Amino acid sequence: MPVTGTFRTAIEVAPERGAAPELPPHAAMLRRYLWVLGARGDRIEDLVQEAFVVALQKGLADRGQAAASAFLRGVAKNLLLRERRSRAMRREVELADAVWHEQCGGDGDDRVEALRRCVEALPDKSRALLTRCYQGGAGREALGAEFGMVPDGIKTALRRLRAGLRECIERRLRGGA
Amino acid sequence: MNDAMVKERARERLLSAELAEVLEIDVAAIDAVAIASRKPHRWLAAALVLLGIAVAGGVAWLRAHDVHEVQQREFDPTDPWWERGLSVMVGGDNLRSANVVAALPPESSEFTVNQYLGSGPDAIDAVLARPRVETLSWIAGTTAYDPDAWRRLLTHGELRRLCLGGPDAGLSASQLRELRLLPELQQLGLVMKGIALDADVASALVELPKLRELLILGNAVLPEGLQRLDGLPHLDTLGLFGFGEGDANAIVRAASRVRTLRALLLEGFRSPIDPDALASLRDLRGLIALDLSHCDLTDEHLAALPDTLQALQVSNLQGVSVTGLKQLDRMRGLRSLGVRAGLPEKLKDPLRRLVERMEVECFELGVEVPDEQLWRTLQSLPRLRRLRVHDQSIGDAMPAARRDVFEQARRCDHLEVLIFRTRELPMPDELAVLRDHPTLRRVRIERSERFAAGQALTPDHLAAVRDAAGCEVEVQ
Repeated sequence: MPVTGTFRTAIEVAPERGAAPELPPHAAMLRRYLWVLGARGDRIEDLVQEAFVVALQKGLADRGQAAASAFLRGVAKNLLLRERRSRAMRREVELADAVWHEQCGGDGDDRVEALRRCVEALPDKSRALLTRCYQGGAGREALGAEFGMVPDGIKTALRRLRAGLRECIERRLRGGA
Repeated sequence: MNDAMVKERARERLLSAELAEVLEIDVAAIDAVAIASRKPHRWLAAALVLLGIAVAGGVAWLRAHDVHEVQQREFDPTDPWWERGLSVMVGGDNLRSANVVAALPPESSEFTVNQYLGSGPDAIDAVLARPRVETLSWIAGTTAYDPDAWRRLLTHGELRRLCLGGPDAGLSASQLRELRLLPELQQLGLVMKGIALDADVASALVELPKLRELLILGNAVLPEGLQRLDGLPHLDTLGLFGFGEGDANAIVRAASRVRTLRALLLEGFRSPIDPDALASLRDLRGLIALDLSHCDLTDEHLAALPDTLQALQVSNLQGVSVTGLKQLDRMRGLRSLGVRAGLPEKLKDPLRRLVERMEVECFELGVEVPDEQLWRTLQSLPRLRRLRVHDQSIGDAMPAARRDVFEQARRCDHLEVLIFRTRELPMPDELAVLRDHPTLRRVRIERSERFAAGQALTPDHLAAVRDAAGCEVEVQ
């Protein structure tokens, strides 16, 4: 996700003020967290920035990385809840937050690392399919022609690939190969 | 979505966010491609299939049956048609000559030509020469209908409401059968001794398949004729007024066999109706409105009424006791109650309490304007939407009485339609008190039989009245 306008200003100005140079490393985690919670893509950067601003105002010195990360997630969640008026939507945010805690525990960086290794370990064809599909933005028809599959086969393969990656992450986090 | 589905979606979004970070791309690009396709619930899919079948079946059925025939009447929930009486009773000024007809605006489509009251033959010729005649009341004079004019009448395929009659009209069953040439005819009135409703006439009438409303006024009604009207598939309203010497009980029993009826108006029995005959109306499952004006009623009559009525008009209650009136409590669906005449003093308070208990939506007191106590009750009713008041005042008292009615009606907070029956058109300043009423949508002014002569309704007067009242104003 590109870092835009006001968000860039907030995280770049912060070190100059000497207030909280430890904040920027949390940005990626916050983006993931907000996405899981259901935030729209065009709101995520603003929410991250607002969370940082709150953190700057409160001061995060001496809290440590884990506490700072938890504090930022709490602020981000409250900011998102403030935008969710209906009870049903707020319930979805709470359930997604529970999923985050269940899957990631803290900041979830270990899951990202596990996934990185899983992707690297994929067979060439599968990794190519993943990158062509997500990075290249190619359609199913084009991918089908490229990989010698019918369009519905691409969809099925992608679904299986994702399921496999989820299992791989779980396995690696449990200590498996 | 249940909890499990929400959580699964969050897990998928988590994987997408992590993949976006690993592949260094925008997560939205992944989400657009990757989220597993969500299959709709089985029950939702089944419901959609059933809905599709129902819609297809409905469309096929409407095509098989003429759409226009199955359409209901125009329905205004704040002013239901069955409370408005018979629409075939055409009002309007009698058009006496071709010159008067020629002076009407080109968009006019409702005409009254009463040759018995002096309209010349040129008036009906002028009306029938007009391109659009949707409503016509044509009362013959001292001779039968002119055959030439009759033929031209039958060319007006757009005619929807028609009222025919006259002491010497000489209408026959075969003439009525010719009305089949009017495909839009839905409301028909046979008035003023024009013809008797016997088996032959009824057989002719059942050949008018779109007929919804039939008024027989001042004509003999024979039970065997009435009974045959059951052959009309869409006849929902029947008015039998002043039919003379017939056997009232046999006529009511015959009416109870016209199964499509939803509104029945009976007026002018010379012989009393037995409660048993009235009880036969319970066979009419769809009957929702009953008008028993000018019928002498007792406790037994009220006990015999169908419980399913939504609208009831009664009069001549001298034979009804306080306990008898309370029996109306059992009509849980009754929303409209009217007492046209003959309310004895002993029933005034019980009627007020009844109205209060039933929380009626529509009330009519035809005897006189409500007294102060009744006004207070009406003003306290949480659901009173329609009110019909008959102004019986005369002479110099009229403007003051009308002002009082409008002032009291203004205090009925939920009123939406005010029906005011009067002998004289109110002046704009009298209606001005209604202007700021929060819910009033319509004032209907009904000109009574004794309407002051020479009080022609001009467009300017109507516009001024509408402007003063701040709502729709109809004059009938």
